[in-house]
Amino acid sequence: MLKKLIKSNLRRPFAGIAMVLFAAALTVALCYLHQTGEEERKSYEASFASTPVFFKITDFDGSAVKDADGIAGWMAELFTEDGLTPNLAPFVGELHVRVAFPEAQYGRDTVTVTGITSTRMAEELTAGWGGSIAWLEGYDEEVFLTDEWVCVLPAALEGTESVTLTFNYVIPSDRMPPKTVSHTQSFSVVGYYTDPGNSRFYVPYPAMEWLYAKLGASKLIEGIGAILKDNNDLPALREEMSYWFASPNPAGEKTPWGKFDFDYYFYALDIDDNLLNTLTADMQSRLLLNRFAATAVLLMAAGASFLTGFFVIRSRKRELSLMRTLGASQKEIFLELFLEQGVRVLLGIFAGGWFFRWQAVVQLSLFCGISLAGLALALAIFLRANLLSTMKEDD
Amino acid sequence: MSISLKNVSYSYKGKFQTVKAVNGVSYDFEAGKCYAIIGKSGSGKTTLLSLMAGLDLPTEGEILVNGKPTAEWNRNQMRRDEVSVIYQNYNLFPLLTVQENIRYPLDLKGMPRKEAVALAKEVRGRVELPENYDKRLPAHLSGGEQQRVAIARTLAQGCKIILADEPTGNLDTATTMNVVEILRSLAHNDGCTVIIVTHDPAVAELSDVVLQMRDGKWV
Repeated sequence: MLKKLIKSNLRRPFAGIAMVLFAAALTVALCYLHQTGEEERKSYEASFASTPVFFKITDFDGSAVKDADGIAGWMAELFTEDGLTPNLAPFVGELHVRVAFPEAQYGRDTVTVTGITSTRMAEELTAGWGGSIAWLEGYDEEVFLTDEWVCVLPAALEGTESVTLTFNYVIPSDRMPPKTVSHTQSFSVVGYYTDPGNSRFYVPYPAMEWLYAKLGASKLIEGIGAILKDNNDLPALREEMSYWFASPNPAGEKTPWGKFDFDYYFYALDIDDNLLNTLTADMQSRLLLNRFAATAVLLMAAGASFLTGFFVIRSRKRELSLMRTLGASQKEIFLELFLEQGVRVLLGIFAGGWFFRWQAVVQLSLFCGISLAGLALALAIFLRANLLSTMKEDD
Repeated sequence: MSISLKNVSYSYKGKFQTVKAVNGVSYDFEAGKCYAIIGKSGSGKTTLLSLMAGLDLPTEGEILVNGKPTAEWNRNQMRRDEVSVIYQNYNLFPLLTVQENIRYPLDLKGMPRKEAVALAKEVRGRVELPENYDKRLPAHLSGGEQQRVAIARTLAQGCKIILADEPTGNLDTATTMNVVEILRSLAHNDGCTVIIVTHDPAVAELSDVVLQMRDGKWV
């Protein structure tokens, strides 16, 4: 049987090679789609895990709270385990904070100095950030976690080696006249950023913490972003927070919330997961496209197998009729041709699968099954036809 | 070994209407004789021959092969062991050598390779083809040689009923006579029932019995 099979394939080398190459090409297409799908899925999983979710305490209508000084406390409480207040800490893997000092003096200019823990916070909390940072040699964004007196300036100030800033803070008081506290600090420049419309000076977050403490000022926390330990926990986190905070409602009405009978906190908590949603939606559409393409290739493979089988058999119709007139049973003809063609399909699939290191075993098995089923169907259609009619058609 | 037609009719659906290709034909073919069925194109002679070969069943009546209706035969088995057909066009497998073509029905019967090769060589000799033809492909043979290979295959098959549909259709006169002579000798010397469908009056003349068909009936 094996000898016969090899012989029959060798008799039609070109048809055989064409069939093998065809099956191999479809296999490669399937494997390639599978591979790109897997890569996208992995990259999505990595991005999903590292995408921050932003938290902001707002008024009930979602606008910034007027009592800005109090916010720092509220925000801080969210991330501390004190057993009394709502606590995000168990969910948080990495925390990014951005604080701003809006009126620092740089020479005659007033600039906003922003303390950040990572450029990510600068980028993702700054609407329309379209810039990049050119670091001076020996520095990178790790510097934002140190307590060094360094800063990153807008590209317009390129060439400046250091800046001296004066921080003036007015301490309000009901009984006494307001008191102004000042501190002057020099910063070495470690990089320049390009970002149209943005002119902040970025410094390490610990440096800003120190300055606020020195001035006795209330921190102006612009935002807190967290990379959750597992972004899949976000629904659970939302539910937990919904016991303590209302959600911002643009209509301005207080929405009922909480497990208590009274309004526990007088603010809303805005959990901004837009980045995550955008990423997920984008990836879902890409994965869907990939799946669609893979299904299309599979269907194409099925159709192609059927048509190839059909045309190969049709081209050998006379030969098959002769086999039948000589007494070969339908089963014998089916087996002979199925094996002959099937071996070619399998060789093609094997070659394509080997090339891609057997990455898409399930898809390849499916492809293999569909191809062979297509071939079997084409053969069955021919063999079920009335022999006399077939021969009359050919005459 | 005989073949009998009992009021055989066969109709099939054509493009626009049902065609009655064979219409109530009866006849008893005897062993040891060479028959010629003649008639114009479309008279039903090839269809009748195909029915006798068991390619399909009559729509009415019956065909008895060795006394048993074709409907009751395992028709693959019948074509393997009892009835052999030689066609004008459907003769040889183009990618098999002469010897492999002759051996094909023997392989179907499950004959051991050595025996099959020996028998193939013997029958190839009987149709007067030289030994070096064994490895040739049909494309390298003339029409007459191809037809002789087909006859050799029939001989190897060992069937006692031989049906030939225009076996000399593409051959020159000398080769035609040669092929008919081989078929006649199969009838007369080997006791086969040979039925030849032909347009050629010369072939008909060499047959023992000539039957003429028109519109699916004997004339």
